Amino acid sequence: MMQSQELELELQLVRRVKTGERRAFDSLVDKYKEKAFALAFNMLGNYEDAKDILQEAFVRAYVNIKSFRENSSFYTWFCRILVNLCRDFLRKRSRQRKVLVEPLKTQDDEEAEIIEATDTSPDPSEAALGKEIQAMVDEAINLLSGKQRTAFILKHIQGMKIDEIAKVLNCNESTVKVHLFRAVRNLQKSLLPYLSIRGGG
Amino acid sequence: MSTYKKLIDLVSRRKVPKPSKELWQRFDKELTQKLDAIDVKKDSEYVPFIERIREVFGLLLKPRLRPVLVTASLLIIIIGTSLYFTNYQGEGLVSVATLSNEEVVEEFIIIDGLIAEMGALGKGADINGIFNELELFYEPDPSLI
Repeated sequence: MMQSQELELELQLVRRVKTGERRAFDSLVDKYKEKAFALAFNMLGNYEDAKDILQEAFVRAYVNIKSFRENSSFYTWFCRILVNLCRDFLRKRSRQRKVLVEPLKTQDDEEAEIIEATDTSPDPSEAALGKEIQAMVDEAINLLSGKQRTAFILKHIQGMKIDEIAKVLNCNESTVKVHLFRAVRNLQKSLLPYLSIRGGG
Repeated sequence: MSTYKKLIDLVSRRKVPKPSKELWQRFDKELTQKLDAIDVKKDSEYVPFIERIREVFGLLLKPRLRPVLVTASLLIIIIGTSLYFTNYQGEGLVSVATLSNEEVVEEFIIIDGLIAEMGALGKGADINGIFNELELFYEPDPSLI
């Protein structure tokens, strides 16, 4: 949860950007780029696309900063831009490739360091199982509809609150809850075999 | 553990991207270039506008055009003033503050009388007469203007 002092500092930065101070915007970029990159990566599935879309989102935020009415945090407002860009990108890509979403892949696995909680296990068999589970989770999430996936990622990976997600998705809170409920139900269906095994273990 | 909690536990194990330093360097470099391009565009839009204003003013302030500018300004002032006096001459609000105490008392007595007559309307009083009097009363007194 963002503290009020932090929020005030952030608003001060935003106001400085509105007056044309570029350095203040650079500070906002530095503050949020990693968190926003995680969101873009989780929605798009690869590093290069995530990088390009995130850049585009920051450019749009910079150009349209005066339209930010300060009725939410900067990050919530920025997420809305980013999520819309990701959705547009996925729509274009699905039209081009006639597939919904690719499974998560890094463009260059050697370059990219991936933190995987499952890899911390010293047991190789557990690590292999972890990777398998990881692939299942990725696949299950990618099978969700666009809004369900976005709502789920924002809630459980970005740690956003329902009201913030509602602002990002431009819908009311009850709609977000419905998307989340359906996302969880669909994930349960997809991951039921693993969940039952794991529950038993 | 409930199914929901197990599910969230699973999702929390999902990959957290940590791009390489090289990717962040490229990201920063490209973003800086894009933002610089926007700043340059903003400046280039601003400069021609200022220059255009300067051009117009520079043209008007040329010695050859100065008499024309002065004549045009004088004409505008004269026409404006004459239009003002044509339209508003003879009309104006009369400030009560400009009236003497006796005049104010007289005015109030007349108003009071008219209001008293309004009460007699139902008893066949001359309504047109009252309205004429009111109209006359609210007309500005030329002697006070």
